[in-house]
Amino acid sequence: MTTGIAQAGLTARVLLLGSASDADLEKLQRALSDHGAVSKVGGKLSKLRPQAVEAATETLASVTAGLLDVDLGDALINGLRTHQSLVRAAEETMRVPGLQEVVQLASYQVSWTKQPTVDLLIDGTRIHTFRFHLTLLFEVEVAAAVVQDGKLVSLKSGDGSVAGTLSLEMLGGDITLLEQERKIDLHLIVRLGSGVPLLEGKPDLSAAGKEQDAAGEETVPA
Amino acid sequence: MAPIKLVSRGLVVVSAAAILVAVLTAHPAAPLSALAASSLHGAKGNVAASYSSGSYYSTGSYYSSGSYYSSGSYYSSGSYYSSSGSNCRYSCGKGGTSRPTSSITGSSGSFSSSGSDGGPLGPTIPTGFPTGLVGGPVALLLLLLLFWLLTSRRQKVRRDIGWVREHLRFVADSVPESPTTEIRRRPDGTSVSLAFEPHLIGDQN
Repeated sequence: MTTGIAQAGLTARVLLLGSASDADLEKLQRALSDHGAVSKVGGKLSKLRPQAVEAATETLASVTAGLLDVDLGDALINGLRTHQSLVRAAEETMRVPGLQEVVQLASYQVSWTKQPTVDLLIDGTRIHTFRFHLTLLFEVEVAAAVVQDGKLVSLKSGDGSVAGTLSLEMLGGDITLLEQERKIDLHLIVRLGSGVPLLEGKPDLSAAGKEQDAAGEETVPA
Repeated sequence: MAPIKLVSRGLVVVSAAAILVAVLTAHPAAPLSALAASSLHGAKGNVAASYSSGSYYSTGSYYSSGSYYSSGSYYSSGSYYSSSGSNCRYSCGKGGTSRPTSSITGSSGSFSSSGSDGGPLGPTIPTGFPTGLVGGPVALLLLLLLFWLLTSRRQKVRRDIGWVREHLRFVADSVPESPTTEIRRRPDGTSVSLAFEPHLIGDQN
């Protein structure tokens, strides 16, 4: 199901639950309850009255919803950082100060996956770990990215969409708890600010570039 | 959970049925007829009397007026008795309720009847199951049982919820692993990169 266009500051929680308020936890709670996520843990939990299981499920839903506070823009940037064309452009612009590269990206798909967990403790002892899978799948049409000084400074794109899925590992196999898809406008959800570094975690090429530039200047005949 | 619901519903139905029986059997005609029957025991044969059968006792809908009875069930039962030469008519009703052998001695002679269908020519004390007496307490007991079940269930629910709130904790992983990202280019296009390098005019000179 595809709904309205996403706005700035959109998180996976808003995408999947509708809003960031606790009032919208019911959807997740119902999904957990329908699959017996708590009662199937076994032990004393399987002997609890349904109302008590619901109370436990409500708490689990609340904690799980906190795991969904993932900014969609950040997730997309994380994906874009792995785009070879952008990485090359970032390295190039780091070597040549003032160089600006416009990279036209073909249609692409960015998948972002995280596997958060929630521990269930009874009197401080962990008795079970709920393993979730949060997947965000961005479908982006042709986009133009401007890279300068190793940073993504501008992004223009065509239509796109994002699909979010939250699933839970269970004995019989993974179960899908939440699933939602909506259109996105990249420049609305990605907050670039003064530029998003594309080479984070990589060796600083700017110093090497400066040294190279200095060497070049030296070799230039006066 | 389902069996508890079934039991609760069953108890409600049984209680309702018992209350209904109790209400019906509480009709004032029942004790009156019983009283009348017992007062006629050993009466003379010419005395107009009415006897109640088991069915009469339980429904209380039978109406007695002197020496004549009219009732559909009465005729269909075929158990209508009349003592000739006397004003007394006896109604036994359907022989559904077993009646003990009875005999009376009146001024017109001695009569004896035996068997459940035998017409009593003497007064008979109704000896059917006293549902009116038993139904009330049973209904009360059932209601009390139902109330106890509901109350104890609520207490258990409250206790379980309290246990959950007190002992159960859900903790999200404090050191979440970094997400994995993957980018896939669609086969229908390629990326193009254009570089713009500024050159100051002054540098060219």
